[in-house]
Amino acid sequence: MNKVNVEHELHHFLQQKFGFTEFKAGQEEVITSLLNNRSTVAILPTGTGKSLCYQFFGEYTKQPVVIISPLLSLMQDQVEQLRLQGEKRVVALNSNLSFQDKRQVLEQLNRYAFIYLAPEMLRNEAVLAALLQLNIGLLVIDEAHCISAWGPDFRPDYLQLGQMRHQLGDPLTLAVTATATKRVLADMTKLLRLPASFKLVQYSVDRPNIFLATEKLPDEQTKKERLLSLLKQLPGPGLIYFSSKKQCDELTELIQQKTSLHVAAYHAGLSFAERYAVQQQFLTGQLDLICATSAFGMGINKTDIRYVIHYHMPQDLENYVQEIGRAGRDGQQSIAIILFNENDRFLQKRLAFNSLPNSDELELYQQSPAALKSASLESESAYLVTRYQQMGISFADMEQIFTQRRTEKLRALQQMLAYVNYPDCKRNFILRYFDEERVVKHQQNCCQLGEESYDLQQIFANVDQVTNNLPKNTPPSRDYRQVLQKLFRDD
Amino acid sequence: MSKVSEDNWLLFFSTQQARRPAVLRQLLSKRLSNSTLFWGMRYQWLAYINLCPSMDTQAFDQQIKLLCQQKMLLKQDDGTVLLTADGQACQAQLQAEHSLAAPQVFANYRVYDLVKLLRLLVQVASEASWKNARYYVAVDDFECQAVLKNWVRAHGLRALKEQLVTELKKFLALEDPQDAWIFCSQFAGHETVPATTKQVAQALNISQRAVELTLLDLNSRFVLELIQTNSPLAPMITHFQSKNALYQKSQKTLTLITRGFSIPQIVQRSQLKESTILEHLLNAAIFNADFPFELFLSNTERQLLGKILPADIDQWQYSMVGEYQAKISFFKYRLYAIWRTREQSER
Ligand SMILES: [Zn+2]
Repeated sequence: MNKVNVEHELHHFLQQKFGFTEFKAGQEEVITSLLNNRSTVAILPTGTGKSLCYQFFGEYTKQPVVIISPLLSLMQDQVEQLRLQGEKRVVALNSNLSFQDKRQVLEQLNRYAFIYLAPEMLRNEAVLAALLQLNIGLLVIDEAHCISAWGPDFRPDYLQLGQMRHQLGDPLTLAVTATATKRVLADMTKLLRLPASFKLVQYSVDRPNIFLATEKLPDEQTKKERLLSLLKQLPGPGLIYFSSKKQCDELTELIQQKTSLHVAAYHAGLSFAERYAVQQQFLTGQLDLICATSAFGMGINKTDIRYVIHYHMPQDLENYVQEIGRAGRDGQQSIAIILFNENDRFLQKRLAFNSLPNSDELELYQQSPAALKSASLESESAYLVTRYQQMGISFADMEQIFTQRRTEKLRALQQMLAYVNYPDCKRNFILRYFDEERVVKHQQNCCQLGEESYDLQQIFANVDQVTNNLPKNTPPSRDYRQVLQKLFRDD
Repeated sequence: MSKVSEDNWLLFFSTQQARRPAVLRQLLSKRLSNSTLFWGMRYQWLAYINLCPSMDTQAFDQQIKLLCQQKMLLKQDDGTVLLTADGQACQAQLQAEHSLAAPQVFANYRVYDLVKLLRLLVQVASEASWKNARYYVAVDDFECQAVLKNWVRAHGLRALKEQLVTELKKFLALEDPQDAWIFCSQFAGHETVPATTKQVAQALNISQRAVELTLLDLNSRFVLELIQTNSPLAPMITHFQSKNALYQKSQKTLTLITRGFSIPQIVQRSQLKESTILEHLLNAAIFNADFPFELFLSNTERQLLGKILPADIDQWQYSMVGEYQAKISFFKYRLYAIWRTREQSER
């Protein structure tokens, strides 16, 4: 088939199977590369539908796709997205499954077209054996930047993926991530042992329709007041990120008391049922905004989010860019604001460092396995040491990794601070951080330069305000009979 | 998700009888020894076995400590606690809010999984009735999904919806309308988004704890009704029956006894230690109203124990049997305590 015909056929399949008329940026390139049997690294910004790439490949070639995904919430979300699209042959193998359920799934693994795996599951021999029985069409490494200790989200579980990939017979591989600096990219390809012929598909992290702002506030009280005043002016819906669950809950209460907005908190402290409820309420417009910690279900697909506010300075630009990437997926004008207070830097430093053991702790744990065992129950850093041990990493190597991680976290934090304090175009700062060669010309609706004031009315002048003035969804009926009537159609 | 919140612990204490919080902790989280069961019987807590299977036991101890600091509970020297006047006022308030009418369901069924199952049944039946196949599944539980799949394979989606609607209507018609609404607010389905317990509490201006308890109460009673009325949906519910090894072992030993086997014979047959067999029998005495006490306790022994032990059973200690210990084993002593407790409560 010639190129035009192939393109035509891919579009036809997209329309038929997924109901889209167009590919989003990068998707077609990735799919074509995979169909040409080339392993591919795709660096595509959040919201561009990375998962469609491997879904398409699986459906099109009718070969099983195995997806390694680092976070439980992310995995659940993607499984649900697939099911929502009518794909029932999908399963997630993770710690949520009981032993029996796991065995049942493994026995029938060839029934599934899409198999999601937590990285630690690959250490399980039964899992590996079952995977070897499959004829894997495509191995997907989601959030592939987690493999690099230079990146902010390093996951030691990912280190073994290169070896696992080899054990599985070096299948065709797709590594996807939203952001990667050159150094992280080099790590990814090396550690995953991708063939030299791999194809890189990279799109800019820049999202031109998101106005970038950072505000420095002298104290907590002023911060709260500023947040409330912003919420009264901004068109919705929106998201506010917090660094702590406690503050997330507190500010949710405050917003509820001081504004007429419908708001709910969303964090890891909620049960699955509660998260489901809040997510669905947000998607269906019953909520104006969600206050979240970073645990927020990453796959949430709401296109009309107008603002993302960070109530604390984030830990690094990688996560920041991902989180603000939830705004303006419909292409309409949106805004990302960081509310910064000097204390944030200490808060973040503490958060970043508490999770890593220092050399004294390492020495103690090495000498006393009992101390490590009891500390593992309470401290995140001791738990990490246990996990590393299980992976067969020596204490000497650990020391080295943790030192590197500390240096890296500190560097990332300093870059974040530099961003907050940057006097010139913030967009260009981000591009430079991610080693993009492009330079954008600063203009109106690009970003707030330094600490100059910005005019929300003007920024959102062209946004249809109608959406914001819609009557609030009428509260659900208080009569249970009506609820039942709505749930079940009478025949 | 519905849970039993810590404020509720006050419900379990008394101004009259000093009670041991550790026993409550063990019963609620189903860590059962005969001693736990015995004291559970003394405190009338046996209905609450397994109410909080995944309880954070350290947090429980902290919460009891806090209730003591708040002077809701008064700690005695022996580690038991009494409800204070403040605690009693608080307890009365709690009792007025809502209570579990069928707590025993928790001992016999995995109620928290059943809550998930019900939500799944409602969503699947709802979307099916509107002929919609594309929706976010509200329950991420593999076991629930497998159980439902099996049932639907045998009976079909239409039967699911019809049966479920009939059962729900029948059950809810007899409930307080507000409770019925709380129960329904947990469901996801066609164009129906569930509310969180916090949102329900705010909407009704009641406490979140009351909402959670109402949910647990109605969910547990609804599944109980499905089982008791032998509903076609019941097989899905009984799949979640708890494996109650302790209870079954006790029953087995008791059956052998009633068939005339002696304790040494049972020991030999079962290859278990005598002490284990005796513990099974003590458990059986607690679980069974018609336990044959007379097989193990003669009238003389009862009279003797009645004479040497004080009136308040809670104060008893085996050491009080003193010089008669050679004749009256701990087994007999404990069995007598169970018998006396039963007699008292029957009076
Ligand atoms: Zn700019």
